Amino acid sequence: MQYFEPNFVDEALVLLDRFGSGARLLAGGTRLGFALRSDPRDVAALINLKRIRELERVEERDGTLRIGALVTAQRIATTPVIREHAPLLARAAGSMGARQLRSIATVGGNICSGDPASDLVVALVACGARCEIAGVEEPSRVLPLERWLDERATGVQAKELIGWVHVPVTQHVAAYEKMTQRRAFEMALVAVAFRAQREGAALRDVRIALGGVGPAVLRARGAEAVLSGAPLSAASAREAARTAAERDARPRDDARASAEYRRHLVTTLVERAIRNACGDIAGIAS
Amino acid sequence: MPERSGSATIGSKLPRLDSPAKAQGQAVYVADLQPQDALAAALLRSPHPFARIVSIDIGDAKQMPGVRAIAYSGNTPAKSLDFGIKDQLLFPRDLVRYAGEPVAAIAAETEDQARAAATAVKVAYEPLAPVLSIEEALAPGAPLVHPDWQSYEKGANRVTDRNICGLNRIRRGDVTAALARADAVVESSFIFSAGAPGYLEPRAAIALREPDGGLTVWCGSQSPYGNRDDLADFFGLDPQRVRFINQFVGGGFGGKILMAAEWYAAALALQCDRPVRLVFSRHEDGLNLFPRHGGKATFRSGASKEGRLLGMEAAFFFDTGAYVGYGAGTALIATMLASAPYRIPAVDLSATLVYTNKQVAGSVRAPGGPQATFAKELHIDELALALGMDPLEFRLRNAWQDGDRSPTGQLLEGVRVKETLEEAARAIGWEARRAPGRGVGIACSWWFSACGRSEARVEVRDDGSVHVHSGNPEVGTGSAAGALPLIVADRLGIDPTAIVLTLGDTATQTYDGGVGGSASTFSAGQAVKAAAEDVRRQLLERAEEALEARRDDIELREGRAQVRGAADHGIPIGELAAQAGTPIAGRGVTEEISDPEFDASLVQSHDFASWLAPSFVTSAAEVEVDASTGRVVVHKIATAQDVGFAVNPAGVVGQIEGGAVQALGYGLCEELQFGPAGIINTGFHDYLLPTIIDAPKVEAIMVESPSGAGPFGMKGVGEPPVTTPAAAIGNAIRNAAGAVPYTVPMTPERVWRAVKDRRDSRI
Ligand SMILES: Cc1cc2nc3c(=O)[nH]c(=O)nc-3n(C[C@H](O)[C@H](O)[C@H](O)COP(=O)(O)OP(=O)(O)OC[C@H]3O[C@@H](n4cnc5c(N)ncnc54)[C@H](O)[C@@H]3O)c2cc1C
Repeated sequence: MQYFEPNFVDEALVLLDRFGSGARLLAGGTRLGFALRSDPRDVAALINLKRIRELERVEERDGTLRIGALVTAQRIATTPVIREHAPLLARAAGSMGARQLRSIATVGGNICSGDPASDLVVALVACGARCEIAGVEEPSRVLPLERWLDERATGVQAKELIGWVHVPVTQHVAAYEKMTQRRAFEMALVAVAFRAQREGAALRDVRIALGGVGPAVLRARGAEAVLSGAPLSAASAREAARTAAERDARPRDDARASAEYRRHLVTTLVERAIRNACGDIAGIAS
Repeated sequence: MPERSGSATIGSKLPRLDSPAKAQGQAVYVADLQPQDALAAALLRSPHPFARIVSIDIGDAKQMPGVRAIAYSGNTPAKSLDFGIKDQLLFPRDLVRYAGEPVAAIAAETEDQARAAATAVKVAYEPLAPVLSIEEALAPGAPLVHPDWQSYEKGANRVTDRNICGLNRIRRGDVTAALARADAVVESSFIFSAGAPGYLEPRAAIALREPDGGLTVWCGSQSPYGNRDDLADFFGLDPQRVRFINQFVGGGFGGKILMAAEWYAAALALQCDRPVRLVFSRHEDGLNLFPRHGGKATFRSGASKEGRLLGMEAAFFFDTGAYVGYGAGTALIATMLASAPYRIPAVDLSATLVYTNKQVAGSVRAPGGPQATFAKELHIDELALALGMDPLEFRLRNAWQDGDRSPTGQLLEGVRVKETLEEAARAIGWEARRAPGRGVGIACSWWFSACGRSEARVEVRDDGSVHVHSGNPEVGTGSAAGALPLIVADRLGIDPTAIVLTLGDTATQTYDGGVGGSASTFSAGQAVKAAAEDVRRQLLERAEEALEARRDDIELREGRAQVRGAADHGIPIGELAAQAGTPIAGRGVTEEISDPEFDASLVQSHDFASWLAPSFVTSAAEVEVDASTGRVVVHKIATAQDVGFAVNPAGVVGQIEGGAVQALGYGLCEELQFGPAGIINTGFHDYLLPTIIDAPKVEAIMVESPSGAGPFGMKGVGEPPVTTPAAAIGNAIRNAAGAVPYTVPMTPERVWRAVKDRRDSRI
């Protein structure tokens, strides 16, 4: 296995091109470590991204928050512009693992880990984030994160890397809820991110993302439809939670939890998220 | 703070002496040793939980690059290891009985070569239907984990019957009649998951054949002398030529009493003339561990409406895995705990040990303790609630008192159940009103002290240094890192931090039975005390001459012998050694103390029916339950423990705090999960130990009721504090949420389900 530390995105792309399916990108390594340990054989090149300075930037420009792929969870949780414009993302980042993990785990790695309950992915999907991809075939393209996740899920491992994530800056209310079995260092059994625009008591552009209840992070489109455009009430919040659990979520039994319990958690956490985000609306607060 | 200036006395607080080395990364563990010419070893493990071995062919593997030795059933002794039932070979011959069981070991120039060669060993298996649960094992016509069970040699008191490899019973009075008279009778069934010992350092060993035919083994063991004897016996070596050298041990919790890596490194080393180094990965360690027993229990008890316990039936079943190993203790201890510490006129208590195709369960810290205490204490609460009585009041009303007899007829003295109950209840604020969702629970129990043979040597050299040799290794008990030096410092009037310790190196010829049964300070402490007192006597004798003073007027202080009240009229103890021309040395020996008397007519096949210097312990817990998710947050655990006498209170508090957190893991999140292909969660990513964020506030309360048997009146303290907290948490969950799962760990899903089932059953 060969090891590289490119200084620029272009250099990394050259290496990706050269080694093709034998190449692995290394960011924080908190996830890749597992993969390498269980099956290191077909890895020809390890490409450590850590020297690519431009991927560490965070900036807010033209109504968009741009976060470099190498930005760590700890920075996301604590950087003022992110806390101000994407508090949901900051909260999700602050809930990850524990301080040791947050200090090295990156947003690019979180997105590319392929875990169905990655905290940052759940939050970013609810934020309507897009990602900026640098590739060998196409130098730069920007597409919705959800679409890119779909592309990856279908198996085409293009010679690409995530450069930045773009989070639209708008007025909104949001909440993040997750459930684990112990209080640190564990992936969520279920995670729920809620984000919406408020017009009085009515909600618009509602986005709800669910983690841990499907093969990938899911949008709760049924629940979103229940809430969108209508005045929020305790009953509609409950209805949305039920819809998310019964129609949107696709949990399965596994070693950590039963599908039934995960479904129940979706109900509870979606309702909680709505209440936490919109607690001032009459009758909503618990 | 320790009294660093000069002397320290027993009963003063001494922080662990090994903390700086550990915190600074200077502690040397086995895996840190890399002898230059060492060969690397790897194991080939069975992928099947149960399979017939049709053939093993090492031909190709031998030809692989770098390979220097292969050990397997074909070239190692065919005799059985002896754990009371001779059911286990070093390498399996006919059958593999758990997924992960080592089938062959390979030594090669590099680790990669060893691993590659391991995969080249050709084993033809014929997979068999495995027995993966107690129910499957006991079902009529179940496959036999040991088809030859009838032919195994076994010790007296060992019961075997198909998949059963242990059964003991305690019976007193007529339970049926007692329950018929009771005003309230409740029956409860419990399930215990298997747990990992949870030590951080995976096992490792290095072995080297010596030119004289002996063997040197570098290890990280709880019992280097016992291991040496077992190994020498198995390979037919002279134990005096086998040397075990213990390194720092990264935790053991009972999981490092029996050998693992040591066996295979030794088997290979006997075939080469270079050191063989075997270091387990975390995953391999998970496959090779000795878990805490999983199992189940059913309790049925009755009481009068005045709240007097009248009768109790309890039946435990423990899943002991593929071989009996050290599994028997769990079943013996479970029946001793089942009805304690309560006066119950009629009891019928039994425990059955069952073979399955899983890892060999062992003596994890307080074997049987957390399981039996969880079941009995949740059951006792259920009975109290059925009577409409406060659980604390119910316990106080039935608690043992001085002069009572244990269920096996042992006379009980110095009983402190009531004090520990009252102290723990006070610390948790038993009577306080609490917010909805919050609750408190309490659980009490008893435990034993154990005293095995232990030898020690203490030596004052002419440079003033004091050297202590003990066979008792420091695996986290705090004995050698605190209590033992404190005892020597106390007797010799020296600074404990200046003592040079040599632990668990069998070349020092200071035998010790090893860490287990809360025996370290109890056994090794007496030996060290005797050795230090021997040295003290010699120092005073010499000082008498040197100072021309009467012995009664001389005191040992701050490294000097001096005339009391005349600090300038003294002499450093090193000087006394220099004058003697030889180190001033003393030896101490602790003899094994046998267990107290009991009434043999009350027990069946029970090897552990009375307990030396018993101690009493109560934990109380305050929890918060989110009933709609099942999440439990433990805010506080208070443990009041009868410790006899706290030789080093800092060490005792450490054991109580560590016990509380370990028990929290047992109670809430730790669970070894088994699939058809063996353990699923071998690593700490999936096996959920509690983190520091999960750790509650722990209040440690020491109740001191001196024992007649231990040094300075102490009792064993390491195990009791891990037995009660999970039960206290369980009772607190019920107090907070109205329901509690009768399964450990009480995961959020199980708590949610228990609350939901109770709600559903009310509608
Ligand atoms: C103890 C522990 C606890 C954890 N807890 C959590 C948790 O609470 N929540 C959570 O969400 N996750 C958790 N994780 C999972 C994981 O580590 C994180 O999701 C982390 O964000 C991964 O980031 P990384 O920088 O370490 O990625 P790496 O391990 O370096 O990479 C992960 C994958 O992404 C690819 N990759 C990395 N960067 C890029 C890029 N720019 N473009 C394309 N591909 C890329 C890599 O090739 C690799 O396939 C935990 C992991 C551990 C070990």
